[in-house]
Amino acid sequence: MIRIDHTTKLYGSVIGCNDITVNLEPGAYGLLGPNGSGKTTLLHLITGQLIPTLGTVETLGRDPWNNANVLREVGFCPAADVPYSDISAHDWVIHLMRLHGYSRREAKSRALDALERVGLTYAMKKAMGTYSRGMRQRAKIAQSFAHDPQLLILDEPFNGLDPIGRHEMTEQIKAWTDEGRCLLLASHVLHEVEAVADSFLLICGGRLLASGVAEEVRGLLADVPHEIRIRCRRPKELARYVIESDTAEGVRLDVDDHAVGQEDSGVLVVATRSPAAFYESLPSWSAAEDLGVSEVRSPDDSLQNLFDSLLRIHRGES
Amino acid sequence: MISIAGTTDAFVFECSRLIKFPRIAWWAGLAAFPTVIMNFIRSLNGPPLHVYEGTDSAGLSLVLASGCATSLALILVATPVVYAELEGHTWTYLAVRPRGKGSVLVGKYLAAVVWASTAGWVGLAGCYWTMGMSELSTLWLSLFGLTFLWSLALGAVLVLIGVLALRRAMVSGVLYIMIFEAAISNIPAVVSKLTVTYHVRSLLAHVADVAPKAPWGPAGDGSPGAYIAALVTYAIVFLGLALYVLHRRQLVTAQDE
Repeated sequence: MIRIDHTTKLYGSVIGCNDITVNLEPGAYGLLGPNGSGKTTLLHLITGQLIPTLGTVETLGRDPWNNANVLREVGFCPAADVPYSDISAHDWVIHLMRLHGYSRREAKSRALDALERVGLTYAMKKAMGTYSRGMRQRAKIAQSFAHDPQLLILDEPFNGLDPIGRHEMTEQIKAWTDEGRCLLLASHVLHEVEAVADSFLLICGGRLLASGVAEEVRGLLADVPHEIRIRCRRPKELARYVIESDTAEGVRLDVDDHAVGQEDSGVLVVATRSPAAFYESLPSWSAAEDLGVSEVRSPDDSLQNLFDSLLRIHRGES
Repeated sequence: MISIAGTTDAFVFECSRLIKFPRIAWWAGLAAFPTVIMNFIRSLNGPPLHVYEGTDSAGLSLVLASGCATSLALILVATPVVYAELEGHTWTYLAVRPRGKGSVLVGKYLAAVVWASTAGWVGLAGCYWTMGMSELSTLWLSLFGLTFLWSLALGAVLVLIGVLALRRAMVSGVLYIMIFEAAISNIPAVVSKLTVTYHVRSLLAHVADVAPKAPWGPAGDGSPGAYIAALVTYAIVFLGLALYVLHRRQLVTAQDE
């Protein structure tokens, strides 16, 4: 579907993408990264609006730069808001379909169908300047799939949508991927991506940190210490056991200021490469010294922490 | 890159935007400008201008309608054809369409030509009415055609400037008109023949039968067909160059990220 080979994009001295190599087979992918990480540059390279400074990009097997055949099969919803404020969504989507090469009748039919699918039929004849942000977002998404593309690329599609709108849009995108079509969804909000894509590309500072399904990405962190947080009555005693057992890479005591002197007086944060051994020993330590363990939690199990961990590694923080 | 259907639709789409407020207010202001100035001159001179300076009044009307109203309209609409879309973050939506870039450029150019020409025509009609002429002469009718040709050729030049200069398109367009079309076109040298003004002025001199010594500046005494062909060629060549530049140019910058 998309092949990116050692691709770098420079804007003068600013790096947009830095030596990215990835090969995406047909499917649904989430492109994750904080704001300014290079997601949009990557999407602009894929949609043929930019030429790579180094390396090559192939979309649907072809070079996308100025390639009408590629553009015919790609639907793109940019992150930028504010389409024309004085034009209705109805006229706008028809106009874009006409630029796609459809006859007036076909363009109108496709526009009406797309606007109905995003639930905007009731307001489609009003000027977009009167729309809420969520309504404009729906209009933007309608134009991206009205021509029934092979590959749908959405850049921050949930921006401005209320929770109900988000849910409806998620269902819409899921229905799209369930039909076996290709999707690339860029977002800086992980749970939005998790809801519609199984595979991820994690990008930061223009570099691709990781790619693959969630398990594959987790596998990259096999050598990274696992973080476990234990809330107990005597965290210093627990820390002594942990250090003596030699199962931890690091130990940190987070004292709850508001809870000093109370029963749950602190949280011990343990970084370990052998969490199984740690979990096996913890009950015996607790029983021996009456440590009063009230909570054991490992945030590393969520994808958000996986992402945070990769970012920390990228920044050289761990 | 470009299609007739896409261009037609882009033209209709752009026209539908140009007839909405505040653009229509701008258009009305520009169209009224020649009439206001002509009325002012009349109020200074007293009797109708055509009584003693028929040819010059036609020349003056053309300067006011084409040189001022139409040129300003083109600077407002033709010069920022691409930058207005970039600034409004709407360019990407057009650029990812197979026939988007070229069709939109040509469609917007044609809409700008119509918008500017009609402002000039209304201005000319106002001047004619102000001078209280008894009949519509061939000279006066030709002014409408000259305004259109001026708009056609200058519009293409300004579109090219707009594609090249982007952020400084309007300033560059004003400088071009002041330096080339106003100053250099009045120099009695070969370089003046490269300007749009020279060709329009030569056509006016031919219709007014004052060529080659036109009272408004250097003018040629060639056939009108050659000048018309030159102006149409200007439009085609400059628009073609604008399309080429647009086709080759990456219009996404780091600031858009």
